[in-house]
Amino acid sequence: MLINNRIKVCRAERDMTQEELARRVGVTRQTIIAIEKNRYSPSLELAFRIARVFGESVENVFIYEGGGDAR
Amino acid sequence: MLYKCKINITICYNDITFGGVVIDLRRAKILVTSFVCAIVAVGATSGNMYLALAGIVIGALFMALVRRRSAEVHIDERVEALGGRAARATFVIMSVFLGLLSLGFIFIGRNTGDGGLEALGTVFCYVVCLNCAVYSITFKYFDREHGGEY
Repeated sequence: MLINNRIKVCRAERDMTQEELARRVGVTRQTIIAIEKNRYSPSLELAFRIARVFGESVENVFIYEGGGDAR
Repeated sequence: MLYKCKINITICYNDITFGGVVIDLRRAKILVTSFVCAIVAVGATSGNMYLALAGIVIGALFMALVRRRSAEVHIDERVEALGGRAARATFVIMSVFLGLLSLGFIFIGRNTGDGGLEALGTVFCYVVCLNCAVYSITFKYFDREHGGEY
């Protein structure tokens, strides 16, 4: 998986449970678990929703670790 | 004498308040499933088809009510993605399996002179064709829905 994320850290900083985050972004708790464990890459829309809940930019929550140009 | 009975069912995020008693949504689902299974089992053993059907209908109605009024998210993008992958895998497996089965039936039917078996193979063959056609049509429909150009 080329996309890492800081969701667990952001949650811990705000003392937020997976259940609460899932409810606020409108997904199941299993999806939050899968994203946190890097087993599922969220859609762009969900990534923005998660970042907005934490009040951060998408780049601060999700880190793309792939190369630059794919050519 | 006429008795009026009123039961309030309130469904919160993960709980159901049923006549003042708070039940966890997951436990409520287990309870309803057990109830439906018991009713269907009683109906099947006693030979009463209507009882079994009534149990299934009541269970389905209750679950539909719970899902409609529940704030809990049941289907999200990950579930849809998984569903899509599962559906594609099912389509491929079933198409290949039924296709091979139909070929086998047709060849065995022709060699043994069993017309019934050959006819069954032909029917399976048409089912596979229909399956592929429906898949193609739905794929094109969703492709167009999501911006694919022709």
